[in-house]
Amino acid sequence: MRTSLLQETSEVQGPAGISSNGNLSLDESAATSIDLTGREKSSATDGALINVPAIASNDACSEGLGDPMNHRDHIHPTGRQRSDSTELLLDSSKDDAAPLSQCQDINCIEHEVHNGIILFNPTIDQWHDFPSLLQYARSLGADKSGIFKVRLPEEVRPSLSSFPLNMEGHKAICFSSQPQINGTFMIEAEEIDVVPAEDLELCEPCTAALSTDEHVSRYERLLQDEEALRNIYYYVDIDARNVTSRTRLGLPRESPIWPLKGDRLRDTKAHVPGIHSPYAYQSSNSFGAGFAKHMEDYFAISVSYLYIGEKIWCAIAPNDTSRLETMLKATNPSGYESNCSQFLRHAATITPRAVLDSWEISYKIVCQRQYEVVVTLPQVYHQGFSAGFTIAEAANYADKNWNFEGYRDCQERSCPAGFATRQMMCWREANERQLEIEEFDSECCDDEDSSSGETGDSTKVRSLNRRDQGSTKPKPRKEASMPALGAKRKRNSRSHDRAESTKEAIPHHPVLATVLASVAQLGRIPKHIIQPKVLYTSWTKNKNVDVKHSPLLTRLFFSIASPAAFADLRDACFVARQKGETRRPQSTNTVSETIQALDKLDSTSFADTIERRYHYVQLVTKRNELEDHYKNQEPRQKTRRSLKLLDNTAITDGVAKSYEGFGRASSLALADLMAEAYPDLTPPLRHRTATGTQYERRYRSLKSRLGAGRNWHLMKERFSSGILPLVPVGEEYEIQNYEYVLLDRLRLPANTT
Amino acid sequence: MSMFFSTGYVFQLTLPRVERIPVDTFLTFLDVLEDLRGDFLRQVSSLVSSHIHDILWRLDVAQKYIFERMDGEALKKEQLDSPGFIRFCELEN
Repeated sequence: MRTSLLQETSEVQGPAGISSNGNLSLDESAATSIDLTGREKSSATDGALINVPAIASNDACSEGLGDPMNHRDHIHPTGRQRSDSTELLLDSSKDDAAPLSQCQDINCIEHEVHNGIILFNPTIDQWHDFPSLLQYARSLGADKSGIFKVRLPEEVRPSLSSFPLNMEGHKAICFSSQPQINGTFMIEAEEIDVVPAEDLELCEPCTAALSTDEHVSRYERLLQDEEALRNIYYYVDIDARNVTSRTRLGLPRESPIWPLKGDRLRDTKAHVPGIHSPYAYQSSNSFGAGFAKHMEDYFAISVSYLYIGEKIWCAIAPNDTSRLETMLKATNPSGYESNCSQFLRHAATITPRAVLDSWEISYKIVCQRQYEVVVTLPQVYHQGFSAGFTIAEAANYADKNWNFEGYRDCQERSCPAGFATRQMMCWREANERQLEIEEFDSECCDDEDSSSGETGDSTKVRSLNRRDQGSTKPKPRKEASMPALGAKRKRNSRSHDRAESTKEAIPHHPVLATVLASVAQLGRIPKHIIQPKVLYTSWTKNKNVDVKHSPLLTRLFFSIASPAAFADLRDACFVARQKGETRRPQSTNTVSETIQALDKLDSTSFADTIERRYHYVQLVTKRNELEDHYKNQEPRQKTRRSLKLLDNTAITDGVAKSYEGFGRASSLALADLMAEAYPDLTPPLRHRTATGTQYERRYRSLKSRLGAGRNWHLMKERFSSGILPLVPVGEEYEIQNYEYVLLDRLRLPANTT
Repeated sequence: MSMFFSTGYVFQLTLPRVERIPVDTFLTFLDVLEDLRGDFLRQVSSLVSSHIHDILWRLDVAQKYIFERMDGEALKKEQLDSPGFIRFCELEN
């Protein structure tokens, strides 16, 4: 019965916009099911997301009432329990693609088929068993269309904590298009700094009542409207891998689509953001934030979840992949000169339906709605757009049969998809850790980094060439793709080169040798970071730096947040957790115990040191606030205050008492701090009468602490307070006395080169 | 110029050295540090600051950073500015 149904549905064409040759089929929503208020009708979704309003969710797939064009079939509608055999599959990711005969009950996944597009309604367990779901989709013929949908069960639909997402620090893109001779549109995206707030307000798009076909028609008209395109904003490729980044954005702590069971991408040598872990996307409420036609990197599967809004996808039938490539190259040879598997990304293209029809290329139009996951299968070209405000996240997936044989790497460093290399995607050894892409880069590709690719026209990006909501471009390493980062890296690179050019000028020097030896203890320094010898030379030449500080600054530079610093912090945390629970050993009987006791004391000392830094910073912060307060006082108030100070009269609006040095904001701030810290101490009338008093000793101590905290405070201001415990203090970092001898020799390289 | 520093000067440098760096020098240092390692430092600093205060003052010791579970030697084997540290600074789920 299922087979016959599939045959039936796959032959059905869309209800509207059917092409002359019948290639187009639509995952069309039943207009009759639209709630004109724009809210979803489905009871399954009501209240599931309290803080995510539903907009324009023409959830025809769930309703489909009276729509003659929707051929839906609830297969085993009651079969929502997974069998024991399925459970076994769940327990073994390596067996995730067992023969279908072994997992008959997977067929219990409730699904509907609309015009050849499968929409699954799995249970939680069925969703979590993604390999089986994928296998079942294929058994139902998903390979033919190359795309299918999954409506997440209500229980696993995550809530957004921020709406719209907090995109602070991220840049949006806007679009422009250029019609091509072959009827396609070349799309370019340009980064913008600020998206107008009103463009991120949730509102019902005026297109809410439009059918999917009407959406597509509107988008194709929009491609010819340069002005309108420029007012569409899209945040793309926002890293959403870890809890911190997700929480900051306002996404749920856990991704609904990552990690998925049986994902073989976990077994590759490197982790590429956007491929191995999700990216977030947010489009403005203007209709038409698009993603260009592309297939996933290294023939991976794409998995894309929509939190809110509607997206329209166009997926090319896998059988017509070659035909599409041939036609694009044949009709616009100058547009696609690369021969890599991602050649389409070299020129972001949207291909209208009429062009696809004229080329006799089969495709499916799919409308993705709130709570739905769209899955595209390997080597399936897809393009699409948002029909208004959308929030989504997407990642790639590889099943057990994944391979990228035949995938052609790009030889151009400027390839928009060139971030993930073949070496990164190869299997790693069982005992090998999956490297972060930067680690992999630094170990394998350092030499290439100096020869950057595109640098001109740096404000232009081709994000449409990247992952769409989908396009698989991870954070680009090429400067041309990301101006801000690129500029930074280029600047770093230049300073590095400049320093490199002088390193041979450094003669062998005992201090330098000591510095290098001590830095070597801090951890391995990858090639892409400035090398100690080079940095040391730079310090000795820097006019703002006294040469005597060069060794210290060099080691400090490499010690902050170094591997050794993290190890120290780990120990300090351990000690801090044990405070009050354990006592320092009074005596030790063995060398081992003694060493352990000493180690523990070192850690204790470090923990105390970290605490002290925080207190110092707190003190300086308070002092600065008071200083600012006094600096901002009106002159009249200052005068009045000074007069009161002269009279040694208590000031009613502050805690400061009179003492010598009145009138200066810093002195007044100090006086306030003294009064607050030592309320029982009476300030002397004049400093000269305070010599040797307890007040004077406390006063000097306070000033000393403020002086000690100054640099910690500056550091905290620059990098946030978390930097404070990442500066190690230990005997190994101390500068030995002999390092300060022969400073005239130390100066030599700086003066002679 | 003397070939040696005075004892007093050396003594000063045995005190916490970061705190003794002149402000202008230190600001220059921070500029360079930010330029060359800023992205990494900001990330790890932000992550560490999320909970370290609670640990050091024992306000909330229930949560742990991933690096706390790791072997110290394993941490030292990572490269400087390794993205792994960013992951290690996450709180355990």
